[in-house]
Amino acid sequence: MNVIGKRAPLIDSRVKVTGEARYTSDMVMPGMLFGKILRSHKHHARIIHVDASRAERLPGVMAVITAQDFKPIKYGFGEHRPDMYPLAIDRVRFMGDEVAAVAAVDLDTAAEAIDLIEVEYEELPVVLDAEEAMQEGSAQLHDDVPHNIAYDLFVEKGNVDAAFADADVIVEGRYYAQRAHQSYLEPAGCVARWEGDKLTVWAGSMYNSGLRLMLARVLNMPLSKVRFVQPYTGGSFGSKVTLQSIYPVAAQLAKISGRPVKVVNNREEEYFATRPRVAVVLYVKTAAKRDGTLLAREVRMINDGGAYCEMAPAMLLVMSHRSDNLYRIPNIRTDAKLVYTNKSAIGAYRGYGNPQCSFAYESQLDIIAEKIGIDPAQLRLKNASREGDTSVHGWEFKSCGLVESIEKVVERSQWKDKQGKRNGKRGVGIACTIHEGDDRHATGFAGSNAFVEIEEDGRIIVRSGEGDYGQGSHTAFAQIAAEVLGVTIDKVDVRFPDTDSTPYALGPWGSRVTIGGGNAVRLAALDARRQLLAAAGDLLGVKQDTLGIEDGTILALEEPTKSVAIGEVSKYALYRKNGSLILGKGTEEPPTSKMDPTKQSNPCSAYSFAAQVAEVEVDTDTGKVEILKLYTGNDVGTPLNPMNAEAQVEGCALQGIGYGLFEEMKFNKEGHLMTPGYLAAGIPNAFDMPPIEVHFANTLDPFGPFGAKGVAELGAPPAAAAIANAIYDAVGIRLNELPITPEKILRALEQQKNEVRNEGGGVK
Amino acid sequence: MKHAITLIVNGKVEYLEIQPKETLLQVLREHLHLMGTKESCGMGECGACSVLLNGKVIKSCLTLALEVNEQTITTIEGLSQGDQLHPLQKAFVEKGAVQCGFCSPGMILTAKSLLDENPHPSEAEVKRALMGNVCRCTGYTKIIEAVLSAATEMTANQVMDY
Repeated sequence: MNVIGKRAPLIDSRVKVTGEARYTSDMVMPGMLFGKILRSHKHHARIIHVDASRAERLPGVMAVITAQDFKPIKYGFGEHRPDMYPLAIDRVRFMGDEVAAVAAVDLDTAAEAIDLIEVEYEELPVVLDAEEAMQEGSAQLHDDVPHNIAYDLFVEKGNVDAAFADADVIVEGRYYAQRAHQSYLEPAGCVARWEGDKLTVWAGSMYNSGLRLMLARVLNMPLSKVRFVQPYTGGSFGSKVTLQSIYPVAAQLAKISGRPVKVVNNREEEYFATRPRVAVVLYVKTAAKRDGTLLAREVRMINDGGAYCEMAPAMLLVMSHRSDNLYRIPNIRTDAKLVYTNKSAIGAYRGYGNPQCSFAYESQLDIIAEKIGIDPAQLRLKNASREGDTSVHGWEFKSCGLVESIEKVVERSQWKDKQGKRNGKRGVGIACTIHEGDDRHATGFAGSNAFVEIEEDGRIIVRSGEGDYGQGSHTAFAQIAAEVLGVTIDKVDVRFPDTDSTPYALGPWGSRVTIGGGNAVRLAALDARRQLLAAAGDLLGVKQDTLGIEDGTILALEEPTKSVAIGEVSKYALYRKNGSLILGKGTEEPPTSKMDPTKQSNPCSAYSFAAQVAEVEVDTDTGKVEILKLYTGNDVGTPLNPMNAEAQVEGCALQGIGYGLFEEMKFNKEGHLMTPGYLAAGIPNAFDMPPIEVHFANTLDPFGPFGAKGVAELGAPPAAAAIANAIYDAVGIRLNELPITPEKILRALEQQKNEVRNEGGGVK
Repeated sequence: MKHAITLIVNGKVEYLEIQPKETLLQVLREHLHLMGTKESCGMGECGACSVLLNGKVIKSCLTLALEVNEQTITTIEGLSQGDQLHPLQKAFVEKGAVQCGFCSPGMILTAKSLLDENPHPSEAEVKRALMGNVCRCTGYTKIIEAVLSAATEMTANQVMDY
């Protein structure tokens, strides 16, 4: 292969390093106004009265809106529970909840106008703890949701009780994983502009096609009158998938003022009012036989969902059962709840429930390993899912490099020499993960469409509804189209998502875009290739099945003197009598069943796997943990672009390390968010990234384009668990709550000393 | 109350009328339409707003434009010469150190400030210099590789600063 599998810079890197790339907040239009949202400063209150008259009178203010400026259409995410309005009608449910908005000639005027809006609140009781929120007598956030249980899922496979009765070892524990924020560099924002009855919204997002659908519904507009365009986007990691209030707010401000309106979050708003990773309490029980065979796992998980559902139910559905498929565990029982509390709603964040669950589950595997006296890596190998397996929930692994990934990190880390020493300083720990690629969540279309067009000058134009927010999907598409059409990657342009000209696609989330978007592009490129060669055959006077393409030139393989450039052929095809455009069309849908863990279902066309070994050094005086090295083995099928695949693992791994050691959205007793900034939130800097090895397993997926699978979400989930297991290996303490801070380590070491004292001595 | 100031931005003398409270970041983006310098946190914690003041990196979101009257500013737009990328820009592209790109202008200018002062930095020195620049996409690994690679090239080429 000429292009696939080669290390290639991302095709849009150059404009990013020169400062030419234009993101949403860089957009300027004639007459553009600046929008700001008035947010509730109460955690939970009834809205008695909103008086915006003083704001309306402020010079420079061109529009002021409240809930009355929207039809009262409740919305949620896709098919999930609708429980939100763009602006709160009669109740606010978290500090930051959107109440009103203004558009003014500059940001300062807009900010001043916000301060002039008077809201009369009647405070309601507040509930901040998810387990408490389920209890009788707690404040109820939504009148139609008793006990604040927004979502409740029960999954059972096999016979868990019989398995527990049969087990030689059972481990039980309570684990806590915290709320943490994606903290992408580009704050969410949009520009909205009307032309007659047609609305255009420019927004750096992760779901261009879907946001258009959702916005049209909320504004009660025909779909064809709403256009969504995605400019360069500065990261997202899951957050910019849902319809946050800024979009309908900007649209309405623009409509009323008659001018384009830009609304962009500031950094505090990002922390107060976007969609972070869900915090969860997990009660976990794992059972095994003496020889290390895993028998069963029982889980009760209580997710702190914040004030509204949005996509949380979708996430919980996945989180409730995904990790069960990583190993051959035949008996499962899981009770997963999503509970309303007076905090901001939660959403998708890279890993999508995996980092939290992996921490709990992989910690317990190590406890089991120690109890039965087996190497933790051996325990994983013994139970690892393998190619050809159908898992406990019906997931089918047509390719699986988990075993190879475990063996690789064991070998590279010199695991056998380092593990089990308990030298009071250094240790190694292992953890694994599984992730979906190209999954079916919806009952309807769950795939991707693409067009590949060949212009008269021979340039290849790819039009896909999937977007790029830094993860490199445009480059992957360019590589795929280039490989199929026999050109170099610099001959391919990939258009940005624009619902006026790029076809519908499910969106670049869930690690699906490589397979879903990639296959659609591949099929469209193949279609374009067929049309191209048919026209070339006519032009050269040879049979089209004797034609090949090499470096942009079409060659008659049996008559080497006959050749022609791609551009000549597309020009010929277009301008000859009865000519037509060379336009290939491709559609991809995973040939799978809808994800439903209560039954057997195989939701994805492929699954990716990874294993990590963390080597750590614990400073028992300060409690600080230094990661000496992180070894990662990743099964992504064929890495389409090894350099970018590495970059994805590296970036994701640091997010996982940050989650394990530094990051947390902390609330005080009253419920105020105390960490609305990069430093306070614990976002890692250059010093926090350890040396890392990134290895790819030698697998080839039969469904993925050129054998490729998703890679984006493999780096984070094992990290916290591997670190926690490594800490235990080093100093013999178990941390069950994330993040693992120096304070927690010191406390645990102190407790360990006391326990040893009480037991009459003998250090482990 | 507007004040007249002069800034030399990317080699060009700019005469501006600004309000005292305007930051250098605002002036660069809103008056001079140099959008390469980004606002990500507005409080000096992320470095996306980094520019060079007389060759040394500063956070433009924490700098009042009045403070730098008559000074020399370099933004990311001033780094390349025509089509020719600066070795740092080239290295960032080639080493895969750019993903979403929002941190890249600030990161590159901070690196330039380092290399202009310390042409042979160690990896630890690079990390220290970049501590004030947050990147959420890359995990910093390829960024550090790119800076070290550019350092090698710059020393080899004896690239002169202007």
